[in-house]
Amino acid sequence: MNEDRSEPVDDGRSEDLIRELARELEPVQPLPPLRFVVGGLLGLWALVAAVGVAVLGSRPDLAQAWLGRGGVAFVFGGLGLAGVAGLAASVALGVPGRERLVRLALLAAGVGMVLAAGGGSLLFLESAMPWNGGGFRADLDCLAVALVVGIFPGLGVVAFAGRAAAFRPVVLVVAAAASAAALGTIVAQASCPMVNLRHLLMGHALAPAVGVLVLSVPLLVALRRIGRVG
Amino acid sequence: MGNEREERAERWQCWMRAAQKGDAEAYQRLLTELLPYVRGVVRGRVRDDAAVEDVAQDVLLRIHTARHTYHPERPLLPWVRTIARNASIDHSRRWARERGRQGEMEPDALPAPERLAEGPISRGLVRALDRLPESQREAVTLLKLEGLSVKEAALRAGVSPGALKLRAHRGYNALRDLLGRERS
Repeated sequence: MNEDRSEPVDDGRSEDLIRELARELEPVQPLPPLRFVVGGLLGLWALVAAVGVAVLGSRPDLAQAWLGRGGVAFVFGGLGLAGVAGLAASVALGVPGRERLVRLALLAAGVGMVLAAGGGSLLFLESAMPWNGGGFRADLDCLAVALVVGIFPGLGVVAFAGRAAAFRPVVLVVAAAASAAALGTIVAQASCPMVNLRHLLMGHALAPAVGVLVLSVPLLVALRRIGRVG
Repeated sequence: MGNEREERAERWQCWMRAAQKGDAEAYQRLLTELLPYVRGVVRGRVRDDAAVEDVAQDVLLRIHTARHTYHPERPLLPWVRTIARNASIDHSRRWARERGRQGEMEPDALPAPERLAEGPISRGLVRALDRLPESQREAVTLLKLEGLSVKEAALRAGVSPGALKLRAHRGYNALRDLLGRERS
């Protein structure tokens, strides 16, 4: 670090400022540790997910649908990893000094997306599912479920970041939107009875990208309204 | 040397924890000792000496407003370094933007000051200024509209330069919020 080569160029203003800041100091409550925040957001997601599955009903062949085909497990395992890691990255983006965690979490989220894409390719190559079935409306329904479930942890991230000090608000909300939709689509998959590859890709696997398109702006507006950016 | 650094880091951490509980003396010591470190980080990104001091003061203000985001069990220096780096990046972006804007403007195209207040942006600005607390409005007006130096403005307002700078910083933040709300 080059802190020692700085010669003072201050004309007393900085010392005045320090005295002023000290004079008006008030006790503050430090933010909770990030692991608690991420745990809380995942708890919120689990609660909303449970309500969502209870309302929509779960598909009868849930275990077989998830585990019977390796590709499906990869797609949703990957999306789950991307969701959790993206959520951790967006929370860490709100706190100075946590760049290493942000990098690691974004890397894990990237690995999750690669896994999901690999799972999709596997299903396609093995022709393990029929390509066609359902329609655009069914895709939209599942995307809507993903976004409705995802908005809750997304708003949770924004509420936290609003209390913290987000320097890169755009990156933060994009990560939050993508990860929230990735988590939301797991609920869609748990309740969606459709078995065809096109719907799996368009209505489920694309959810993070749709989440970025649909949720980023409202989350950014919410963050700017309630938040401290800097 | 390494030991000395560790001791120093530990001492600063201790003071920061005390500052979070409201210990003003520890806080003043901490900021005073941190200042050369902050200048060093800023100097790595900002070349102009006068600007270094301004950015360093901005960092002190950011440390103050974000002090609740420091986790007492974590090392302090990465936290300070990030804040200093972010403030330096903000300064460089602002500087580049202003330079670009000045480059685009023809001298003849500059509006007369009396016509400024007629534009929609300025009307919003005037409205927003009116809504600031008196002390903040005075600080912003003296520094940005009347173009006084911090020292002159502080003399005129009858406060220390540090207090004036603090009021102005709060005023800028409040203005940014008010104008942002008006735009959206």
